[in-house]
Amino acid sequence: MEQSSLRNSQQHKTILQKNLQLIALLDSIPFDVWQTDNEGIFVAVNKSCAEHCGLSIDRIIGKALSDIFPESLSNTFLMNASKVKKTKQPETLELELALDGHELCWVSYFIGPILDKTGNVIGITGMIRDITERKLAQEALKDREQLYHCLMTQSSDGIAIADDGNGTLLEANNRFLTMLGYAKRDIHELNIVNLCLGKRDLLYRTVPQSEAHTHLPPEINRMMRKNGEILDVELVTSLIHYNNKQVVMLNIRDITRKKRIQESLNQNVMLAGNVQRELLPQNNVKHRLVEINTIFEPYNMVSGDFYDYIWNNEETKLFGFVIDVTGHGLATALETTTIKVLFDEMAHKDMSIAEKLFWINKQSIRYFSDTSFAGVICFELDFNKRTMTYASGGIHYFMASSQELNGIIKVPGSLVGVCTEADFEQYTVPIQNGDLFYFMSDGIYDQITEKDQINVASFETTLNSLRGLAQSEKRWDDASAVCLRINGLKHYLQKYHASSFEEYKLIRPRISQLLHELSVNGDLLEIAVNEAVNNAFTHNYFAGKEVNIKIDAIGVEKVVIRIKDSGVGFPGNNELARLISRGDSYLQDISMQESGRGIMLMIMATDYITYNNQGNEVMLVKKL
Amino acid sequence: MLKEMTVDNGRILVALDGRIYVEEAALLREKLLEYISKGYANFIIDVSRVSYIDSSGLGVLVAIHKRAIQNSGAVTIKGLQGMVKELFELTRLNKVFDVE
Repeated sequence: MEQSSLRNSQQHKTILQKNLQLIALLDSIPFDVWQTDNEGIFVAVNKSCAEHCGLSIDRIIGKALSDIFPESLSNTFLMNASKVKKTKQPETLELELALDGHELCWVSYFIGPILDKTGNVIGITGMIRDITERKLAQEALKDREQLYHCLMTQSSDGIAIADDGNGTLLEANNRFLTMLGYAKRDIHELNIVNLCLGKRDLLYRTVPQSEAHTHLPPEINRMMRKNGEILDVELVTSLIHYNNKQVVMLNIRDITRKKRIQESLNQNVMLAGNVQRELLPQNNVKHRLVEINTIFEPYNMVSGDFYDYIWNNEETKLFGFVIDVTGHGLATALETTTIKVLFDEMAHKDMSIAEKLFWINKQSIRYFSDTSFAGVICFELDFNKRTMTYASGGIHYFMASSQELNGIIKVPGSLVGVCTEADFEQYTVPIQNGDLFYFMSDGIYDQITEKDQINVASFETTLNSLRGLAQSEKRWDDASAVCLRINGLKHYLQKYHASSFEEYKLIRPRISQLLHELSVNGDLLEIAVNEAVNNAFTHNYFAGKEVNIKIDAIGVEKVVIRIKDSGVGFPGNNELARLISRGDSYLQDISMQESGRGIMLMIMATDYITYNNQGNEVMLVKKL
Repeated sequence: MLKEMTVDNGRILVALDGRIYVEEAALLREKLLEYISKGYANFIIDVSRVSYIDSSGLGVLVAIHKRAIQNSGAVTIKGLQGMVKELFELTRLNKVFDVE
């Protein structure tokens, strides 16, 4: 009896201990667990379930599902319990719950039958776990996947993913395949090295490996379509790292049509640039009065700069200008040409350059767009008066090396094409032989800094410096210049002496050359000089008779030649008067004479001729 | 000065070139007078390549022309152009010579 009680007591203790262990196990589970009988009455719940129900375990045990859970939930549980009882198979469901006073949440609901030894269902076990967070993450991930899928499929760019080791395509969107004429099934046979014609070495190897996501700058490349056609594309290559792997991503955009249009435009622009150059005046001109060197460097193919210089009919005045119209491109080039035409129209007008600028400004406004205008500097060299007049229409500087002006010269003046009633002022300075002037646009001027020590007194050095600036890669604008060196204002006095005609024959070629340099009537002047010298050596000749010849070019107005011999002379002025008065009739009278034409030729070759009183010196004057 | 002098059907064809100063004119006169003395009276003088001539050269042409006329001949000037033509016109010698 005692042994039986003791055994019962030990069994009871063991059962109690196991119960306690089971309870501890159930209570350690962080989600709700319960057990009901076949009627849906709670027989056990864990701590989590009791906490979520807001009741103690004792108050739940013995209650029905519908007493504890909301009706909709308990109905669901009962329905599922009924199914599980029939099937005797557990089920796991995911339920979306909208509990009163709580936000929408997701739960994972396990329901399983409790079977006795005979396999009969004696109860139901239920477990609920809040999977709201996981579910939301899943939804978000799904949404993202959908988004990225749409990005790939609906992108207007062609997108392809390739193996970074060998360039084989792994994935491509429809746009990529359509652009290149391939089908989905062709993807894995394609390799980006073969598709891209622009670079033969493996593109993706040029992408630096050290950065997480690295992109090469967009480049223009060419790709070959399946049918062999070439496609011009804008290509972006990226190296993408993810999950300890990396792939190459290609973004391509078809620019074939755009490129063809651009090429056509470029050709037109190039043509316009060529036409523009043809309209420019001659460069590197060595006129007898002035040396002219020009610089013309468009920033692109056509320039917003222009220049010109125009002589008056007598070639005693030189009018010139440099124009800089705002902007670049074809429209600007057209505007410069329009302004040039206006300047050319005004070049020969008998107006001051300030008045010319005023008129040009008024006329030019209608040719400019709302946002464009021009900077101008113009000048006029008057070789008779030996002056230079200059005026600014918005280009406020030039460089000079002369007695009056030295270095960078600042000139105030309104821009052209902005206001119809703009005022322009002109300034006049004397000029002399050796003076240098450099008129330029801001494409050159803006690069000149205080550190640049430009020796304006050296024409060649300054020209080279300005050319260097005009061709500099650092410049950001069209660059133009007109550079002048005055060299024709010599008070030219040349003397010759001959003690015999043989000596004269030796210097005669030099005299001939000089006379031809000084005057367009060099032939007749030479005849006049030779006639005078021949007469000096022929008439009243004596051994040792000498002849002195002085040729004096006075500025650009006239040349004065004096021929004096050491003889006794003759009544030269009387002879002149006689011949002049007789004119044509004299020539008719001597038509069959071998001589007598010399002095007449001297009269006809010059504008003025006179002898000194003695008659051993004749002065010939010819206007230049 | 004297590029070529040929005889053709009794006429003397004279081609002048370059610059005819007083000394060249004197030489030309000598040569042409030789032909005058041989009885030639018709001269065709090509001045198309002459770049300079003054009164001494013109005087020689007139002298030969006078002699030629005296021998029932004449001097024809051929190839007048440039400054030589201008000179002939200024001195009215274009009315004296036959000009081709």
